[in-house]
Amino acid sequence: MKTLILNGSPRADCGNTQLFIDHFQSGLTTPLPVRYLLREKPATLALAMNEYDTILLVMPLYIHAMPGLVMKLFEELKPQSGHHPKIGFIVQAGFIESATARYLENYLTALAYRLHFSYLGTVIKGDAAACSILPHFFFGRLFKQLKALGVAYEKTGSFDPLLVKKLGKPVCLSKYQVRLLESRLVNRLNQIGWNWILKRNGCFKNRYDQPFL
Amino acid sequence: MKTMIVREYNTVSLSDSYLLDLNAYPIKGCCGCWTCWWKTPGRCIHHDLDCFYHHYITAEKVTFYLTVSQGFISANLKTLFDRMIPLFLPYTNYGSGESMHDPRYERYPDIEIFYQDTFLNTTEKQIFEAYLQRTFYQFHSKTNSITGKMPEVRS
Repeated sequence: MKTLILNGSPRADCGNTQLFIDHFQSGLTTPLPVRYLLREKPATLALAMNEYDTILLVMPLYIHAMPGLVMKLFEELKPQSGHHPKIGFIVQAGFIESATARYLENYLTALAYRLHFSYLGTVIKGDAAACSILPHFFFGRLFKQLKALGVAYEKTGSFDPLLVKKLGKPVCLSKYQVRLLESRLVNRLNQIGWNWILKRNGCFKNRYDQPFL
Repeated sequence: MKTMIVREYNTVSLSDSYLLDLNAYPIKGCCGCWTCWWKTPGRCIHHDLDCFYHHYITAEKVTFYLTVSQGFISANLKTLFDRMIPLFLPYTNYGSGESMHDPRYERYPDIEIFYQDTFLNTTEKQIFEAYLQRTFYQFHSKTNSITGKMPEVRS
């Protein structure tokens, strides 16, 4: 099985997506080659994909879907004829609930069908925005799950459905979670991180600016 | 009424309406730096969309004429959506029962969408329409209509 990992992040190797790839790779005995959409022309990568029998595309969720540069790659892909290579996706998102990525998941399923790829599925992990900002011990459980995903992938050539389910939780927010998140205390705690960075950058007082009116 | 047109097909333009022709205007990609949220609130490090931002946020209605690309929105339109994040705040609210970014501005335009229906099947079409509905809901806009039309064949 010859697998290529594609990093679909506009931040290439210095963001959350790269962390996801690194921890997935830590579960493999032999690391897989990684190529970066930011650094290569979409047509070049589309051609390179033909040399592999499995593609794993890892990307951040931007506005409920793929970043623009990932769509540029998709526009270059032609329907596969003869053999049916496999394709799977790992998506990391900022919002807590994985349902925010369901529009993308539905599209990726349809895209695999359109291009005659064999679809391995889409792994979605929400609440991942701070992975590369906060100390890594905050994300110990997530990184272990990604490593386990890598271990299972090497054994079976597919995503472990139990791990996919675990990583995708919560799919939606429960009423209790919404009440908690909307409470004044939790709301203020949620803003602390943003406000700390805004203050550090000297623009806290400008946080509500409306520059384009 | 102040209006705006974003088009990928058609030659429609109105004399008193701002036009963004995506065929003639490749948009710089979002680089994921979050400068627009935590260094220069509301402003992107790229300035190619400054005029668009002003006209979008002050329009009462924006009409999109879209093509379908690989069963979805085009990469250029997706890049435009990615770059619209400075129009919202980084803070999140959960009042609707799900995560939503707070609005930065008091009001956002109503949306009307026309697209060239070149889907392979109805599933693709449903995914496309659901995605656009969701995106403008997240953008605090009201989507008035999404209408697909088969492209005209010229002999």
